[in-house]
Amino acid sequence: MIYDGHAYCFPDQRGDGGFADRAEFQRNLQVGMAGHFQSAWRVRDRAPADSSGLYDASKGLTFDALKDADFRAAGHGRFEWTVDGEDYAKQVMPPSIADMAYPAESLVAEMDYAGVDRALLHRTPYLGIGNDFIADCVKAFPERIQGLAHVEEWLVAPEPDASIAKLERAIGEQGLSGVQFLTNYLRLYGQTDKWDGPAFRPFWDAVSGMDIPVFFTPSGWVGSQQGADAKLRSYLSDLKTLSRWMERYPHVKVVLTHGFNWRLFLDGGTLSVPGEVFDAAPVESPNFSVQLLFGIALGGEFDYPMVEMRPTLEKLGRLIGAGRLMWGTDMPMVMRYYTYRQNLEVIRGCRDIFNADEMDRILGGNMERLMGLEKGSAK
Amino acid sequence: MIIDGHMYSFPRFDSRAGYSELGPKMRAVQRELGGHHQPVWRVRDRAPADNTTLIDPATDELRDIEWGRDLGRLTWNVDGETYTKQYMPPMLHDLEAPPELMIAEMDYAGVDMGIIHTSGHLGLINRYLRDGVARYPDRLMRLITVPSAGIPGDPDAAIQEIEDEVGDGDRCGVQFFTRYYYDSGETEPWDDGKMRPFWEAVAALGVPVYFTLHARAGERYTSAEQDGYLEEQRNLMRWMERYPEVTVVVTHGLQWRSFLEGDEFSFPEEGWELFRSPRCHLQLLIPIQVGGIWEYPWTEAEPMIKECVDRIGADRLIYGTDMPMVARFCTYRQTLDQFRTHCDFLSPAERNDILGGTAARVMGLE
Repeated sequence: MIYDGHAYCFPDQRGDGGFADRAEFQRNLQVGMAGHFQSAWRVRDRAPADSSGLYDASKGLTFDALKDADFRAAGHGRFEWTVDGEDYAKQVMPPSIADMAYPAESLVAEMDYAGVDRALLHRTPYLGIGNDFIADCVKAFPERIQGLAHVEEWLVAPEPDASIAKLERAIGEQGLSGVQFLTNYLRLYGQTDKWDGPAFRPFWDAVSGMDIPVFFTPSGWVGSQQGADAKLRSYLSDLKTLSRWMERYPHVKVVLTHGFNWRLFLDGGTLSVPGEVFDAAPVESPNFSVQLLFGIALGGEFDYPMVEMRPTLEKLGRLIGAGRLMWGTDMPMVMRYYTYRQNLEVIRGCRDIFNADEMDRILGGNMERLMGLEKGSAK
Repeated sequence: MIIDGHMYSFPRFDSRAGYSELGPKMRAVQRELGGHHQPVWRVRDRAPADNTTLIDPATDELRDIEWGRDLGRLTWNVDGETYTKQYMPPMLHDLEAPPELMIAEMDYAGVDMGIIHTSGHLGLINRYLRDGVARYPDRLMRLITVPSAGIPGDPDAAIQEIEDEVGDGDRCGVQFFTRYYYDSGETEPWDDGKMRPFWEAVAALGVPVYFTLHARAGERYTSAEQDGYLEEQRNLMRWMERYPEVTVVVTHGLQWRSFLEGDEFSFPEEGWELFRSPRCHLQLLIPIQVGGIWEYPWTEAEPMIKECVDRIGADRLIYGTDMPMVARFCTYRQTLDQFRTHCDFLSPAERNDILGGTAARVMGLE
């Protein structure tokens, strides 16, 4: 089975994204686009531009830093804003997403063509909150799509009971198969406590009793003007928090979404992941797995088939093992760099690193086992 | 300036798209899909199938099918089973490619202008394209076509339509399909005879003429198709001798797949004679033809590209893509990078010519 361990479907980005207040959704979108590494351009002549019209970089990526720039999800995968009468654009989704929505039907059509059997829908608040839309995708294609639940990270500490109830409903009633937790949204909403601290304990205790995998997206938090070293320190701190979390809940299966923060480790034309990253992450835990999403992070840096990634892939195989590596794509966003099939071929081309059995596990077997799809599985 | 010398824009694939009725349009679609190399599969289980679900191989007749849609794809039902093929890439969620989508794709890939081509199975869309070019005159140019099969029977009507469209004033060319010409039942070559009035009128317009050369009959990718293709080249050579002042572009390239032997193209010496004419240009659309066989950056094709440069000259070669269809194999940017960052044998001047300079001269932009 070929299982894309990391894909997306989302409702119209011009709507409310499941937020009670559409303006809050738009603020989340604006922060997301302001901090995104894709390059911006001026619409009238396609001259290179930057994101300074979207936010005040001196304040970091916070809601307070956002500027009034008529930010909008314009169409064809493009977000636009206006400064002094000039329109600017950034292409975070591929141009084919004409109406700024990506329904399950579109993803399954792409899966059919690329030869992908299943996909796991991931979450990020700027693509919408609430679990109804994702649950509907799963219900429409139960043999092809599974989905992760999401609870607003910033509500977990102040409203633990409601957060637990929301997650229990998503898993028990709505048919979702795990939960994703994005650490940077805590800081975005003004919370500075560690996410494994006492205020989060009731929620995590409940999660650990649900027998579901937890997908963590630790990205650290720094102001955009801080240097690479500060960003690395913040990221390492988040990984250490994850290690502590796994020591407390060693039986819970954990997946590091996206893989390590590859863009932090770009070194000229190569990738150089420092040893302290592997020291900080819970790589020794048998319940810790790492997603392999290279195209979405580095597709703008490295040409297909990304041979620059192979030393890192070899290192991951050696330090973590093929039994805990999981292929994913970030579809449909990754189509701004590579086709879906090319994402698959990037890994398939590494036969000199992984044998056939290891390749099968990375491309689907590990996900099949994690998500309870193996024959004879209780789930 | 980067110019995509061969791209498309079209209304919904399963709409009338300029035809008076849906039936003839979908028969044109069926004929195109039924002869196309993209694989067919059965929708319910993704089991491989083939083009015999569309065209009876014994009679070459179209089969009696019922069209439908599934997950945004065009499907057909025959003998109680539903089939599909991804002729268009899955990203065309509504089976259409309006000018706005093409502009968005061009913006992101870094393409400045595009020359929109046509084909009968995409519709009779001169007016649709005229409106699109009018909205984006700095980004889009277009080719005008009339159904080739209808020209011998009513050349005056064909001339009138071409003249009306060219007279509209945007930058354009005329596109002619040799294969569809023979659908009229004519057996004489298309370069003279009943076609003479049409060609005289086209030649007088002063616009480039784009020829899409296909064998009149024979299975694709066989020696019969090779012979038929070379025959069409000979027809075009006679045509160019008659109209030596007309700028000619051969679309798609040299029908690469028909002359593929293993991992190498084997193109006969005769096939190069066409380009003795300094007015004859050649499009280079590699991935749309071999993208299902080879991977980006298609280095296997580089010897043939180099031979084209050596024999024809980069100043008569034109980069094109077949967007959006080519997205079934690669990204738009990758088609560009084939010439922009690969093909190391090209000089900067040759890259500039292939990626836009030649097309600009052909279309009168310089």
